[in-house]
Amino acid sequence: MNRLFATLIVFAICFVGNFAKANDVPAHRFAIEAGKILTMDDADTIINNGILLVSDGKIEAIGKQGDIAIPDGYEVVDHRTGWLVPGLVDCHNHIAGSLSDLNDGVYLTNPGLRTLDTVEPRNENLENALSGGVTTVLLIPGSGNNMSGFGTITKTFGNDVDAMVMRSPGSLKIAQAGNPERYWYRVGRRFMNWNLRQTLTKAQKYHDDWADYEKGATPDDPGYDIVWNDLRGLFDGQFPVSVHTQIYQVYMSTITMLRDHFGLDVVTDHSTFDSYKLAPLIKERNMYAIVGPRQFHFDRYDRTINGCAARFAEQGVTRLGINTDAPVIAQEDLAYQATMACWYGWNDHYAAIKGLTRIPAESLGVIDRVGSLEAGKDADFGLWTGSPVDPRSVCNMTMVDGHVAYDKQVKRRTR
Amino acid sequence: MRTAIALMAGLLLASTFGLDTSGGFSSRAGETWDEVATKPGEPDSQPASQPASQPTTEPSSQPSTQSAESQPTSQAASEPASQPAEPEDLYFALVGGIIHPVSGSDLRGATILSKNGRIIEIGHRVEIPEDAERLDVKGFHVYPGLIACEGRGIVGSNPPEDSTNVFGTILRLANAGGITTVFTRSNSAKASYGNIENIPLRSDLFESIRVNSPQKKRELREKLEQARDYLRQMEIFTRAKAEGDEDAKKPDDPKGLEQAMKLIKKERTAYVSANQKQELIFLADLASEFGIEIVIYGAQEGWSVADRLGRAGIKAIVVPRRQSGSDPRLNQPTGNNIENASILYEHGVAIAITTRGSGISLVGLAGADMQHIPMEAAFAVRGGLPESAAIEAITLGAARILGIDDRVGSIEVGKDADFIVTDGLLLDFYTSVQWTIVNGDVVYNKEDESLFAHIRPRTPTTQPATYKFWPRPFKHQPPPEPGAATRRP
Repeated sequence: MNRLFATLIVFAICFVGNFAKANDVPAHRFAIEAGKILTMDDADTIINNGILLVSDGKIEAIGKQGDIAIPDGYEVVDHRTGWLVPGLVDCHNHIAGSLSDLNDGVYLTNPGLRTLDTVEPRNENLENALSGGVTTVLLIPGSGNNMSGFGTITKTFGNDVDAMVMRSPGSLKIAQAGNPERYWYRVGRRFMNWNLRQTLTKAQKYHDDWADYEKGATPDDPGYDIVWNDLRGLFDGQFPVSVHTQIYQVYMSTITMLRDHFGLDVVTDHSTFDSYKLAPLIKERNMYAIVGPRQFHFDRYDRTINGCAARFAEQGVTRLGINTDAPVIAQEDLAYQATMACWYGWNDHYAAIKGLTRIPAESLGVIDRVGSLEAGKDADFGLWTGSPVDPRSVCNMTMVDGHVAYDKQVKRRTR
Repeated sequence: MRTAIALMAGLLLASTFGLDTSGGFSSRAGETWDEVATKPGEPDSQPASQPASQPTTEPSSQPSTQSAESQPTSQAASEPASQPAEPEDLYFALVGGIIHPVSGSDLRGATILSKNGRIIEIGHRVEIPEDAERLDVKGFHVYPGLIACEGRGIVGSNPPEDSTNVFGTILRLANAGGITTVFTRSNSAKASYGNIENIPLRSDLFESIRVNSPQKKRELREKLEQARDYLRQMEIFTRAKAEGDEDAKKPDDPKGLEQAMKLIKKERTAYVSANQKQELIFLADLASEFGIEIVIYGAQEGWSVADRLGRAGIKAIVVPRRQSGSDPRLNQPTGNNIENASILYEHGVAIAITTRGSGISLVGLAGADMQHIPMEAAFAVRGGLPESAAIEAITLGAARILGIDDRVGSIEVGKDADFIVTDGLLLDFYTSVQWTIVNGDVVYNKEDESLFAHIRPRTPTTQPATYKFWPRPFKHQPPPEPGAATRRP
C-alpha cells in the first residue's frame, strides 16, 4: 500500500512538472556573444562584437564584448559570426488563435468580442512564426465585420495563455470598407462610416459621463452598460484602434473620422493600394502607417508600380512598419515582407528592420517591454546569420522571455 | 518605333534562319542552328567582308525535304517589294559588363558580341563591327536570362507564338523580372516583349504522367511493362527473322502504349507533379527499373528520400519555400523543408528552382510570384544551397532539365544572346534588372519603361525625390487637437 502511495506521488510530481507554465520554470541565464547587435533603441545604437546577458527572462545587460564580464553560471551562446536582432513584432495577425472563429458575424458591429478567448498556445503556425524570428503578435479578429472586437497582444511562445498574453485588450479592430461589403448583404462604405460614427459617439458619451462622475463633476450615476464599458479604454488611451483601411477615400476617412474627430490612437493596418497618396496627412499627425500584406500598387493611370512603403517613406513618413496579415502571408515571412518593401523602393535597410521591430511595438504601446534590446526589457530576440531582411539569412535561434523557443539545431523547421 | 524595328529585325532573323517560326522545333532545325553557330567561328573577325547573303544560302543547302516546312522563307522571298532583299547581319555588342556566364568563371569588363541573335564571341579584345548595336554596361553585372519553370500566363502554351500577347504588361513585367525563357509544361518558349519571332523554343520533350492515386500508379507500371515486353519480343522476332526463322511469330501490335513506348525508348521524358514521399519513392523505383527519364515538379518531401532520388537520376523542379506543414499524425519527417533544394543538390539530383506562384500577379501580394525568381533562389541559399548552385538552378540547370541547354541557360559562344543586365549581384534584394536582351534584341530597358524606372533610378534624375500626388498644392486647415473638435455635440 505504501509502495503504491509512493508511486502515485512520483506520478503526481511528474504530472505537475509536465504541465508547469513556461514562465514558472526558472529560465536559464544566458550570455550571448554576437557579431552585431541591432539594439533598435532610441539612439539607434548598433553594437559590433557585442554581448547580451539574460536572466529571469529579462535583458540584464548589453554592451561590448570585454566591457561586460560573463558572470558564473551563465550559459554562453557563441554567435560571434551573426547578428542579434530584437524579436520581430507583427501588429496584424490572425494565427495565434484557432483560425476558425475569426469572424463572429452575428452583428455588423461587435464591440466586446475578445480574441483572448481564442488564443491557442503552441499551435503549428506559431511554431513556424518562431522559426522566422517573430516573437510578439497582435492577434486580432477578422475584418468580416465593421467593428469586430478586441485584439490580444501575445508572445508567440508559452505553454499557456497566461504565460503568453502581454495585454488584453490589445487593440480594437475596425474594418472600414472591403471585407464587410462582401460578408454582409448590401452594406456599403457610407453605411459603415455612419455605423462607426454612431457607435463611437455613444461610447464616447458613456465614457465622458463616467469620467465626469468619477471626477465628481456630476452627482448622477450614469449607469453601467457592458457594451460601452468595454470601449472606455479606447478614449483613455489604454489601447489603440487597429483599422483595416486601404484605398484613398477609405484611408482619408480613417484619418479624418477616427483620428481627428474621435481623437483615437489609430494604427492604420494595410495602408495599401493608393493610400500612400495621403502620406502628407499621416506625416503631419505623426501617425503610424503599417504596410502589408500587399507591398506594391500598380497605378494603371500612369503605369507605374509603386512600393507602398517606399512611397510613404519618400514623403517623409518615419513611423512606418510592416505587417503580414497572417495567414494571408505566412507569419514566418514577416521579414520577407520587408524585403519586398525594400525591393520596391524603400531604400533604407535599417528603417525596414525598424519597421519590423521598434515601430510596431511603439504603435501598440508595448515598447517598454519589446521591440528593442535594452536592459530591463523582455529577452525576446532572434539570432540571425545576417540581416533578417535578406532572404539568404537564417534565424538560428529565437528566444522568448529568456527561453529558447526555437533552435534550428533541435528542430530544423527553417522555412 | 523601337518595336517596329524589333519586329522588322525579327522578320529578317526569321527569314535568314528560315525554319524556326514554324512552331515545332524539329531536330532538322536544330542542325541548321548548329551550322550557323559553327560558321562564324573563323571569319567573324572581319564580319564586314562576309557575303551578306550567306545565312540565307544555308537553309537552302539543306535537303529538299525541308521545303515543306520552311514556309516563312518562301513567304519572305515572295515579298521582295516590302522587304529589302538583302538580309543584313545584325550584330549586338554588350560592352564592359561583369559577366557571370554560369557555365564558367566570371569575366570583368569583357564584351559579348552576338550576330543574328546568337553569341559569336566573348572576350576582352573583341572587334566590334561598325554597324553593331552597342550597349555599354560598364560596372553592371551580366547574367544569362532567367528560366521560369511552370510559368502560366506569361507566354501562351498552345502554341506559344499564336497565343501570346507580345505587347502585354505581364510579358513586360516578366522581362523586367529577368525572365527570358518560360516553360509551360508543354512548351519551352522565349519571353520576348514585342517580338513574336523570338518565341518558339522547344515543344517535343515531355510526356505528362500522373501518380497521384494507386490506380494511376498501377496503370502506369503495367503499361511500361507491356511496352518493355513488346519491345523485347519485337527484338527477338526481328533477330529470328534475320536468322531465317520462318516460324517466328510477330508480336501483336500494341494498343494504347504510345506514351509508354516513347518513355522506354527515351524519346521523351516523363513529367510528373509529385510531392509525397510515397510517390517520389515510386517514381525513383520506376526510373531505376525501366530506365526512363523523369522530371518531378514539386518534390516537396524529396529531402527525406534524396538519396534514392539521386541514385535513380531523377531531375526535380522545386519550390524552396512551399510552406506546407508536416503531418502530425505521421511519426516521420513530412512536409516541405527549406533545406529541400540543398539536400537534393547534395545527393546529386539535378534541380531547377521556381517560385511558389506560377505567373505574374498585379494584385500586390509581393514576393511569391515569378517577378522575383532570384528571391526564391535566395531562399534556397537560406536552406544551405551554395549561391552559385542557386543561380545555376534558375538558369543553366533549368535549361538542362528542359532540354534547351543547347540554346539558353548560360553565356557561351553558340548560344542565344539572352542576357539580363543587373545593377548588383543577382541574389541581392536591392538588385533590379536594368536591361533584358532576348536574341540580341533589347526587350526591356528599365529607364525607358515607366513601371520600375522610378525605383532606384539608374542615372541621377533632376526630378525631386518625392512624387507629387496632389494635382494642386495641398492646402488645408491644420489638424484639430485629437478629439477636441466635437466632444459633446
